[in-house]
Amino acid sequence: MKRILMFTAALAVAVCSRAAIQPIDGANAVGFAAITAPGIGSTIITVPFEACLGSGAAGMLSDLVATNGLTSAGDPAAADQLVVLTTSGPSQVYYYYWYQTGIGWTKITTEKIMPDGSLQTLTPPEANAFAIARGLGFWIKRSAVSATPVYVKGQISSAHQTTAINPGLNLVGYASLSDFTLNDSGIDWTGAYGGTGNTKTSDKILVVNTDGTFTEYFYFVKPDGWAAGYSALDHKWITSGYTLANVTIPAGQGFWYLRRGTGSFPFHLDGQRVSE
Amino acid sequence: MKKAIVVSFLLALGCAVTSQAVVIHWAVDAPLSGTSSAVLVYVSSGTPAYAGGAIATGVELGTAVSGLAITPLGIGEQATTDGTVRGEGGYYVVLFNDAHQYSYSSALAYNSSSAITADAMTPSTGVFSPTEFSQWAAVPEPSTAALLCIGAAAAALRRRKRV
Repeated sequence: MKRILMFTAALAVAVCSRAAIQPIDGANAVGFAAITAPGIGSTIITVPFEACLGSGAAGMLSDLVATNGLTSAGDPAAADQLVVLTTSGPSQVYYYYWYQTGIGWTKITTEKIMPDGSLQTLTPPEANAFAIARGLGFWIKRSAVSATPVYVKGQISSAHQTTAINPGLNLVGYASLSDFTLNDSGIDWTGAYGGTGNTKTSDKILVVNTDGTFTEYFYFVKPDGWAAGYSALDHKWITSGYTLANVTIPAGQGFWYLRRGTGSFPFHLDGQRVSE
Repeated sequence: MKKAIVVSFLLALGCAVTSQAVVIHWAVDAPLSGTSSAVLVYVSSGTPAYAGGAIATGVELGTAVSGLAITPLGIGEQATTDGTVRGEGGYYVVLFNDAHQYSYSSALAYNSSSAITADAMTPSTGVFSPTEFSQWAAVPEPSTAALLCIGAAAAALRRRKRV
């Protein structure tokens, strides 16, 4: 009798416990991505993830960029830094963070020289309170030679991602875990401005090479009446020499987008096709 | 706090000072009729000049642009790197035609921030687009230049003998 009572009690406890466990939704998958960022130099990176347990929400800077393998120091000049482009009033400004030993990403208060010679103090928010939307680009400045990649992390997003490209300079990235080619990726470039045929008026993408130099690409739309030689370039990204851009941007690497067309346009960075 | 501000200033200053190469963005809206190629030239003073089939005054930067980049509407945007730090002078666009003639543009100041980029973190958005060009002038061929030199030497000898 005692044995039966004991068994029944154990069974009841087990059933109660099972009932208390919440089911885990399979959609909440956390991911890591390794991005090559050479030492002693600056690289534009982008985070293809969103906030953990915050589906659709932007992650915080300190959560998105892991410090594993990065250089910390007691002095900002000797540490790796994150530099984020943002807006302060009507102008674009950079917010700086450094990897402080024993603490993590720490904000740096800087001063910007204004056109009239006055100084504007820039005080960034704390790194754990600075939301970085998926698909935005920012800089990592590495202070020491290192073969260790930069690890970014967060919740994998299942949603198509769209980033607004505004007039002027935009720091953006391809918010996907796969490499990115300017042409032939099936990306919807509707809205990109092809100018008048002369690339000086076209939208431009600037990719920063590992040695710190730029490579520039232009969106081209062939005007009526131009020679047949330009037909293969129509609605494509081209080089300054008017050849097809043949460039692969690694996953996690960002780039500058100079918007010369009027107004903003939604840039489908994750391969969303026009037909979808 | 103060230390962080000072350090960030020094970092920015360091980036500016150590930047060796600059990138000059240029294009031409309406090149002279017959233009077949173009190149960017740096001249410390004066204007670009050619002799003996090569540039005599100035330095050609990058490679010449030709082919489809010479469009019906002009020369598309170019980004030419100058690895030498300049303290004076200017940049010129030099056009060439198939008759071995050249023409040079108005100049861009060596330190113009509107079209010259020195730092990847602050790319310039402007483009140097000259609208004024000199008349076509012949690029003296090496043989022509050699003949001119021989002629000048002969004239000098003759004058010396007379004296």
